[in-house]
Amino acid sequence: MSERPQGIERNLDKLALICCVALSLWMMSWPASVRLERATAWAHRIVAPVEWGARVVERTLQMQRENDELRARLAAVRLDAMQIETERERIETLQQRAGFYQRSRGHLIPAVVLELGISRLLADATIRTVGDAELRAWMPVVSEAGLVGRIAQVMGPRTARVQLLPYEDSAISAEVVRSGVTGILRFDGRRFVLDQVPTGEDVHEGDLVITSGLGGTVPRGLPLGRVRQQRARAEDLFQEIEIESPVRFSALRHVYVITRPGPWYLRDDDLSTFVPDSLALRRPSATTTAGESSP
Amino acid sequence: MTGLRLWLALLLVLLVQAALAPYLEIRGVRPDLTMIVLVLVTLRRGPTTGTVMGFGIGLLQDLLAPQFLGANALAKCLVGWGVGRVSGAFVLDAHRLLGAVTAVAILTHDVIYILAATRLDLLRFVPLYFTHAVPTALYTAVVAWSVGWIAVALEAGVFTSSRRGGGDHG
Repeated sequence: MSERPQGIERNLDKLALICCVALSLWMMSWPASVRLERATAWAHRIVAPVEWGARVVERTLQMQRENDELRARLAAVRLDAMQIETERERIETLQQRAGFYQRSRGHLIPAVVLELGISRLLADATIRTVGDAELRAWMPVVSEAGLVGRIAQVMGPRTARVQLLPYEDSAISAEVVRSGVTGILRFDGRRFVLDQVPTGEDVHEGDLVITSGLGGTVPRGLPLGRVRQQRARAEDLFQEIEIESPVRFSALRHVYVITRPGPWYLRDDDLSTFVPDSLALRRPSATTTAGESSP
Repeated sequence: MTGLRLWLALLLVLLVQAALAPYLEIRGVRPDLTMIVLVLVTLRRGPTTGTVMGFGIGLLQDLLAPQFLGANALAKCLVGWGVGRVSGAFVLDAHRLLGAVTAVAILTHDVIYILAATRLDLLRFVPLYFTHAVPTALYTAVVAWSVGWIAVALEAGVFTSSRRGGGDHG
């Protein structure tokens, strides 16, 4: 301020004062209606951006609140969906067991798995039947999915040790449903294989494999699995056939002991209902021979 | 302080006046915080700034009461110019006189404003002036004096030196 000459400073502030006073008096001279109208318009122009900003902030906060609410609802719906899915699976399992048991009433004894020991060389389970039963060695033990194993040792009136299929020494006579080819189902420590099937026999991937009934201890018709992989070389005597079992041996909780042979086991046209959906879906065009092995 | 910052500060003061003054009200009398800011800025920046700023503040206040559009602008620009003109005469520290200058500024402002608003009706002017202008001027002067005292204390480092153990006290 002090750098500016005093005369210019004096003139500037007087000029500003004259302008401001003139503008003020001019505004005061307006009619009341005009003053009101113009003041409202000016105020609106000044306040409009502030109002717009306030609206934006308000909407943002509202959206944030709505988002939080929707997230909470979504979480609740997801939780409900998970519970519904769990219940659905449980109901399906119960229905499957109920239907299976109903079809085989009087021939199967339900049992609970008390102990389960599965390792590379040893696979057995201790079971206890729900009702009284005359348990004997080599009685087949099944689940809803298929053959599980055979009773190796009767430990009490209702308790027994079961040798499961993944046992190293286990050997079950098996049959390919589509072609009737028979072989021996074994567990090589890592997978199930169908042995003793000569090269040239008609076996394809996806074929359903059941117990053949040969040997006498296990009746015919119990599902063992499906052919996952099949290799046949001309110079080999036997084929290499890998079988995928539908039974989840590590998750066995309930099983059934077959107490006597009879019409309880499934006919070939019912085999698809014996295996779980996951396996049935992968089944190739059904070529089961209906009524071929009636009870 | 640049022009933009000055006007932003002005808007802020108007907002503070609108938001805070009702809480400081005593028996219907509120302090005029905008006048304190106008006096402070004018004492520092001179009459030109005081005139323009007074006009701006007054016009914004007029928009809130449009039936007297121009009256506040006229009064405040005259007060701003007047304070700026006499500011050069102060030799003493302006902060110590802030309360008195603000009180005189408000009394002058209200003379102009009430006369303009009442269309020079003296019968309405006198009671309004003594029931509204004088108490407001006194209350605002107290607030301005407090602000000035706090500013002087801050500049002198009273608060900081007391925290340090009073080492700067003479």
